Amino acid sequence: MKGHGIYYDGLRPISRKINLEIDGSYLLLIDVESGETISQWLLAEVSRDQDHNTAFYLKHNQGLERVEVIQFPQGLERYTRNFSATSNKSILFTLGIIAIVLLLGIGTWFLAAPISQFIATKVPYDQEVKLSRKIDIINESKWKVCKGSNESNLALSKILASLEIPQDLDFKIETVDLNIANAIAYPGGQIVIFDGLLKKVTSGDEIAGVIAHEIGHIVKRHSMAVIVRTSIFAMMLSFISGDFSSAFALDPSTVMSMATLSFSREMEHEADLYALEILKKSKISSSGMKDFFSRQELKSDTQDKWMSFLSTHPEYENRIETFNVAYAHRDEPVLTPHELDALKRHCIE
Amino acid sequence: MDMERTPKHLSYDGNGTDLAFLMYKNLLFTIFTLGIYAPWARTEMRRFIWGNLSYEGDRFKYTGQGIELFKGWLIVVGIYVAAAIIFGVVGKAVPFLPLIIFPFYIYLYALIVYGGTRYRLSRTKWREINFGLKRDKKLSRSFILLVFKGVILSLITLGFYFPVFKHNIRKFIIDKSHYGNKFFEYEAVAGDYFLLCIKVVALSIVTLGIYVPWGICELVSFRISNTRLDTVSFRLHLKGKDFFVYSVASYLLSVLTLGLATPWIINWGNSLIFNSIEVFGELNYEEVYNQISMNGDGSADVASVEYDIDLAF
Repeated sequence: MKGHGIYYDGLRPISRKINLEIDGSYLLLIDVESGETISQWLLAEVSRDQDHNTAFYLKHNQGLERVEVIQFPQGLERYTRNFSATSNKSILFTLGIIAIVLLLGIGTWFLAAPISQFIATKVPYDQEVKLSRKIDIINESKWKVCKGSNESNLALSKILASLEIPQDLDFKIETVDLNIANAIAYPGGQIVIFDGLLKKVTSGDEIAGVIAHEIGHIVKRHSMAVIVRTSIFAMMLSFISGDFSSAFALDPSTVMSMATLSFSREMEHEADLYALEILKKSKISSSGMKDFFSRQELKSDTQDKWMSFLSTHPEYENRIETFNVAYAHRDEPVLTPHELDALKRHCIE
Repeated sequence: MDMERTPKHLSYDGNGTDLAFLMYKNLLFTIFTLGIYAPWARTEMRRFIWGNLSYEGDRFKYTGQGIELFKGWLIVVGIYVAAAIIFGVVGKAVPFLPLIIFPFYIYLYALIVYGGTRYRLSRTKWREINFGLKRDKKLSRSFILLVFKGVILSLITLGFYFPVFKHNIRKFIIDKSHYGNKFFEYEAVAGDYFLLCIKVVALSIVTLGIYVPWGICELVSFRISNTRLDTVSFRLHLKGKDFFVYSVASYLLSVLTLGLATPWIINWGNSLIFNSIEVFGELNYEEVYNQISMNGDGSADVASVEYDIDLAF
């Protein structure tokens, strides 16, 4: 059975209707009108023109001639392997790309944390402070800063004075009136203690431990590492979407939003260990922290325990274990009961 | 599959479902390869659109390769990163750096417009004959000067000169574009185009934007009807109300389907526009011969897409 198609010589914009016939190992192109054989192509040298994905075009070697196949001649199917739209090279290339990307993806997943931590330590701390000062996180969040009384401020200062923290560390502590039992370390050395935490503590040692823990995040540059890590993933997402220019644009408010993302479990554990070192140096008992986490654990129910598996915070058990260390420490707590009471009322007065 | 010949107007017969398969496949591959596949995706899209566009029964052909766009993308990213670093380092010491390098931006814009158009034309064929855009040092200099003049005058006149600027760019590029050995010609007069732009803008403002589809039709129709290829002229007989219906319907469809209907919307738009282009006169094909020109690299094309820069056409 004859096939038919349209022939282009590649020299003039003239198309000719042709019949297609197989003659041995040749493909004959026969002009429909005149009946003359325009050309004969060695089948071994015929391949598909990949520049068309809407119709089937054949080409001969690197020549300019092309044939649009409207109907395949009988026998040409034997050679269709040659006409596969997807060549072996393309398949290998695609598989290669997929393999590279999988490796990149897996590598990024596992290496993102250590790489971002490494980069974070290379960013000068004063640059981090400058960045954080561009955004006033407390005003942005519309939190009410507790001014406190003379007594409560003195109590806080006493705790800070008792901690053996690096003298040249640039940080500040604010207390906000929010009923959350938590404290957060923001980029640039901003520590925010929520009033809910002050209400829950039973000794000044607990607050000392919490402050030491947040300072641990600052010293270990965890906030910067989170920013770098999140930026890496954001950059990857930008590349996926094709908008690579946004990969290099990070405005300060975005940065601060990133910084409110939780630290990883490893980071929290690292901060706990740092806090323990500070408490040891300061000769403050770690039992305050142990007691605090024990009370939190008692309050948590089964659902919390399951959620803790997903949470970035180490489980209470692990944290209690971390602070369950015997070492020489002062007998009396950092704050007297009266001073502690004043501090607990920091946000009331 | 048999194909009927269609006389004297462009014909677009793409299928929305086929385009949807292609676009969703491209999307998945692009996501899965973190964007690396994007140049090949763009190439396949162009092959689809070009391949479904025909004249006198013969399809257009896009011969660009994904690897060319990928190399171009690497160049553009490299330039962008270098610029970001320079801005970050030097920008602190030199406060007026953006003003100082503004002329460089204009130069880049000129390169992108000319280079991007040149790339796409050189990768377009009809009946195996190449389109192209002429280029030599003298032309490049003239075009860059034209762009500089246009930008500066547009700034001085607070934008009033802008339509004339766009007209001049279009005329320069179209007059240097060719099919085989035959050159296009843009016959429009700057003043007419300027007045048309003023009319479109004024009516769009007065009608709170409702006139925009009619305005777009008029502008595109003006450009097409003033373009010739030797003895051949063109006309767009698309009505404003058809384009208005398309604009509203495509917006609603897009919103209601959360974007899933995009391939069908694109296909519908292509069909609406291309099928409305009429061709008058005939080329003497015996006098047309091929000028092989695989000129231009993909970086200008990539940059024009990344920064959404309008090319001459």
